[in-house]
Amino acid sequence: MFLQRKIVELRLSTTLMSLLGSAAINQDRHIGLQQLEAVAAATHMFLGPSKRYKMVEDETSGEAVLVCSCYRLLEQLELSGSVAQLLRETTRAHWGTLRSGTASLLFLAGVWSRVALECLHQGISIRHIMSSMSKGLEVCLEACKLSAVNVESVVCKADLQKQRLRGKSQCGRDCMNAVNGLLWELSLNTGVRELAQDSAKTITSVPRLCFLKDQSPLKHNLKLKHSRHFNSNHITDDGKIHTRFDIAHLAEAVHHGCETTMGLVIKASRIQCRYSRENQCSKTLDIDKLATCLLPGLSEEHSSVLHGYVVLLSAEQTLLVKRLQERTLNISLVHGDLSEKHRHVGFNKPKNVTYISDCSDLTGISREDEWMDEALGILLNLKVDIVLVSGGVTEQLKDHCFHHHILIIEHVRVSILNDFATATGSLPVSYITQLSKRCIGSGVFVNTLREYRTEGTEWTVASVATDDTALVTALIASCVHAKLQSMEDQFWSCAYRVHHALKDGKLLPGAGTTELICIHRLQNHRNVSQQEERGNEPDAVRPAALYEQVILRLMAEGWMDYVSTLMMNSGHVKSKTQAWTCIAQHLKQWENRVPWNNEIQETLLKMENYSEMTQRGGESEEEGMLDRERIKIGVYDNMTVKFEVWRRALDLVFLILQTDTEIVTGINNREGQYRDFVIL
Amino acid sequence: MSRVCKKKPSVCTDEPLSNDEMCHKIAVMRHVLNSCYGPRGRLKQIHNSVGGHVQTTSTADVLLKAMIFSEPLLKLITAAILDHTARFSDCGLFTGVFCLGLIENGKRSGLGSAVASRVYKYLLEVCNGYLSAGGCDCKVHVDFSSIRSLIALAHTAVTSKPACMLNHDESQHIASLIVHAFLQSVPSGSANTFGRTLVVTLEGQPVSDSAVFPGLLVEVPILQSVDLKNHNPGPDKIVLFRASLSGDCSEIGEATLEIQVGINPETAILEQLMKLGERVVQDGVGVFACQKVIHPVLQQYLKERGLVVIERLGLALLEPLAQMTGALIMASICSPVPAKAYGQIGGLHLHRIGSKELLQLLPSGEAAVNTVVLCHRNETMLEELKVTCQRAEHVLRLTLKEPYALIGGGCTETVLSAYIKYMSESKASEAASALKCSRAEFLLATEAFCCSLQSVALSLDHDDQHFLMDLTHAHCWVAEEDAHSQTTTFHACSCGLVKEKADLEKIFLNIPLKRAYHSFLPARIKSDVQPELLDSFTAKINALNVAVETADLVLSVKYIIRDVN
Repeated sequence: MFLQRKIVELRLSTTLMSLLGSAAINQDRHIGLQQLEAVAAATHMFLGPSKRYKMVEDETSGEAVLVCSCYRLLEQLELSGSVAQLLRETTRAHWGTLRSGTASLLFLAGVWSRVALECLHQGISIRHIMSSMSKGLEVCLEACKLSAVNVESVVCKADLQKQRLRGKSQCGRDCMNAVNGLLWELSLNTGVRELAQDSAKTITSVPRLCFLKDQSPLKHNLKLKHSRHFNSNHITDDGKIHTRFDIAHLAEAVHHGCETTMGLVIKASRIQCRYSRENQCSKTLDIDKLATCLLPGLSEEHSSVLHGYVVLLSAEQTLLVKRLQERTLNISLVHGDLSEKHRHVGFNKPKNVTYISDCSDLTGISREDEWMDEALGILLNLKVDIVLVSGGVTEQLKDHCFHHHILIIEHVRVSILNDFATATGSLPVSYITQLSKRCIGSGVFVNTLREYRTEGTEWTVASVATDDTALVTALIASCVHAKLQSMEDQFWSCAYRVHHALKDGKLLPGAGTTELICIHRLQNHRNVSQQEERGNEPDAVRPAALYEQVILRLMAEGWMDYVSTLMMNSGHVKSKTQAWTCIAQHLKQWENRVPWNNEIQETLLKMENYSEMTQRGGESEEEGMLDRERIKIGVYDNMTVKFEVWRRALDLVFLILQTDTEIVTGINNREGQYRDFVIL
Repeated sequence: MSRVCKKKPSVCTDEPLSNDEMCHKIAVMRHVLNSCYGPRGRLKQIHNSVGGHVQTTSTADVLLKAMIFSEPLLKLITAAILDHTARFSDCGLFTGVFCLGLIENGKRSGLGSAVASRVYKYLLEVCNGYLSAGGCDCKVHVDFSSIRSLIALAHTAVTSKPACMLNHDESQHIASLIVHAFLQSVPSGSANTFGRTLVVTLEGQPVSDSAVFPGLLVEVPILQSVDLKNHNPGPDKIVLFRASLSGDCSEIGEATLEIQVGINPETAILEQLMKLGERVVQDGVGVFACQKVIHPVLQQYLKERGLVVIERLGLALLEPLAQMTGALIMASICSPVPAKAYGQIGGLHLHRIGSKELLQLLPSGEAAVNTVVLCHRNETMLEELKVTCQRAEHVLRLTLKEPYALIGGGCTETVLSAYIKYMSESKASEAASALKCSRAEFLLATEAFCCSLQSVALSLDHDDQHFLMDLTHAHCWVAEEDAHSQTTTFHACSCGLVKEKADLEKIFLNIPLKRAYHSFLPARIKSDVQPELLDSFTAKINALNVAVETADLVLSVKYIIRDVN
């Protein structure tokens, strides 16, 4: 029922687009912004941790695809207008580099289009809209940069907290006292239950504590040797504690509701750590050395992470793998197809060539057979056991190799070839004739891991690995074939979130807190500019300042919409009005407490407290967590990703806002379907 | 059975400019160009409606290259603009807006096309004379001893394209990069060829990551970076190939080949390639570069002997590489490489920017080749940024020929129009008799010309601002539209040269009723203030000439004869 409603909604927005798109040259109606808003509105349900699947149906073929992210949705929809195309390009570029945050990107693009439209409606010129909105974003970015917390402090806090919850060691309480700001966790735990009934009451009951101290390096000379979690710590001469950096804590802070998937990422990091030669390996997650392998037909609990490159092999290959399992193998890497016909990229086959011959060729040996014999000869001569090929391989050669116990794996990604090249010292070649002793790598193991049967075919999961590589493959299994893509995307999102957190070294308070800070700052800024205005400013600046007020207010409303949608999607509130009241109440409380000129840290402190409140909004599925004696770390977002999302969304809105003409090239007007166009 | 179709007769259109549809199309075209003009110009989205790539631009060059016109007159105008931008990069929109303005105003004034074009030509001479004279007020000398005017030129060029989406700091950064690159490309005393600046774009990185590198940057494919990491970064010998070394025989083109069975042309060519490789290795070459593809077997042979192999360099990089290294480009694989064909590079460096790995080839000598790496968040913005930077660099380069710049922000246009109006009114009778027209006709045509010039300045307005001209220096002023107080205050004119004074009388340019004024000679400005906005002198003078000549041509078209077969 739910899904159906969604489809209808989507259809509406797409037809809207095609109808409007034909009115090409149109200056004043800003259709582009309306289109952007319409598309964004269709994807509101993708915001937040509890995403719902959408089904995109192709009416002509009757095929349907299950999607769970804005990127995949836009990929599936046939949107032809220039706005949709820009939107798709933006999400594609964003997804390509950062792998998460497309839902926020689309949401904000939609919200800010609405802000821009509203401003245009009020007669504010594009110039002022752009300068004020950029200023609004600057204000938000500044505020958020100040509220970012160190990854170390998040992980460390979790580590200490773990102590307390376990209650096994005496020093747990000591650390609690030692590190200010952990106390509020205690009071919060008691406050949580009340939260559902009256969230406003809880915030007043949370004591004012200086959380920010948590961010500075810990300088308490504690002896935490009793704890098994601290036994790897050491206290250096300068008196700083070096707690063990556990990636699991970090992963938990950014899992955003994907606990199981994040579990895979943690495992991947652990395996990489084991095989990595670097010292600081506990902080490692090498995104370049991750691969995925999809297992359709197995239930989701079979998802796991394995060292090496994992592939699905057919039943007959399994026998071969079992034979090869006992020893170390020689490997060769082929870039391109493995066939007689294959030529390297850039080689143009001559077209008009005829072969003439004086006598008829009676041997009956085709060039293909000749090539095959040669290829096999080379492989056998060099004692190659396994060949990784980035392209395809002719069936015949595969058969021959199989009989001679050479394992051939096709369609291997080039980055994997590259990894094996570095790890084994093997040189990738384009033609099999290029193979020489120097090109062969060694020290490779194969392993069969599991066999399973689906749709009448026997499959074996096998891994190819060497000790020198930190390459790790995540096996993603699902009984529902259509879900696999989304699950793979989710894995990459999780992995990239951890990766970005490690790269940035900073995290932003998540679950809407950052956005609340933005609302607060925007409102705050408004008051400041009002105060300034009473002073003697030059007259020319005054109208601009007036517009700025309007626009900052609208932007703040946009964020409100964001947070309330987030709260609603996660099931914390039933309606948007309820969410708005909730947000407004908290904002009001901050205002009462904090005088406007107060230091930013003061404000932030309150926000931190609030972050714990909204977390429960963002993470409803985690409610049972405390019962399971799990540690509550808090929800955090990636800083770069978030900032990049904001900038890209605003870029997109500005690009469309400033556009007055759409020029369609290469049209054929014979059918007269472009009557509304001006043909130049 | 084949059927013979009768040829259709040619279609002849009489007086194309009196055709309403044609006029409408010209008006649309003018609006399209007009609305692109200036730093607050509106953007155009160009796409093919079947899901192709979307270009967002306000650059005349990009816009007109993407558009295909069916009207011969529009084709003519477009070709003139594109020819201009091909030579000077800058002022494409100026050419278009001014030219179409001259056509429309000339037609509207009701003059015969012959008279209009004669007067236009006369006025163009007056313009040229004024702008090249020493006492010209819109002209600023570019002082190479200070970086200020160069920065101002680059900054004006960068900020004039809103599709680049740069904020204040970013545009400063980009402007300084362009000046940096330009200064590096100026050869020192000994070298006699001018250097080059190449552009590499990287999507997804912040603009602040953009930088200038000496030498050339070549993208390295993923499978090759391993070999390069261990390479010696010192100076090396280099060989350059233009011919494809892929081992195919594509050079024969469409010709038919008959080959005896048993002969394999591929192996024959590969043998030839390997001979070439052996020779190159013997000669102690360190870097082997080819514009096109290199056969993998040859690549492997060379790499095993420690050479750095760069394939698919592309035409855009081949010429600069030859210039930088002094290597001769080899066009054939059949002859051995002569000793003098080898070049020298100063060294190799591997850079990782974002997700891309780039190999930097350093020059060994004086050759002033450098590469600007431009980064931006979005593909369409990056494309515009690239075009804009190339344009800005070209503008700087033009100052070497004529070390002048024109004041920007519309001030040049208003000063020029005031000067023209004054000069023609004071010499109306003589000029009219020399041009064989009546005094009234001459003045009408002058009015059309001045109006067109002013309309270029007015094109800078896209937000219902008020544009004014002062009646002393004839500079252009922009009034903030203010709904709350009726008074408007100014600090300086658009270009920043004239400061507000109490006795400065101004008229509104875009309110017809308030536009009338008595002609006057723009007074000289006695101050040492530097203008903030500068345009290219060389490009604008040429644009002025192209626009007037094209307008004359279009106005004098009597018939269009089209072959419709």
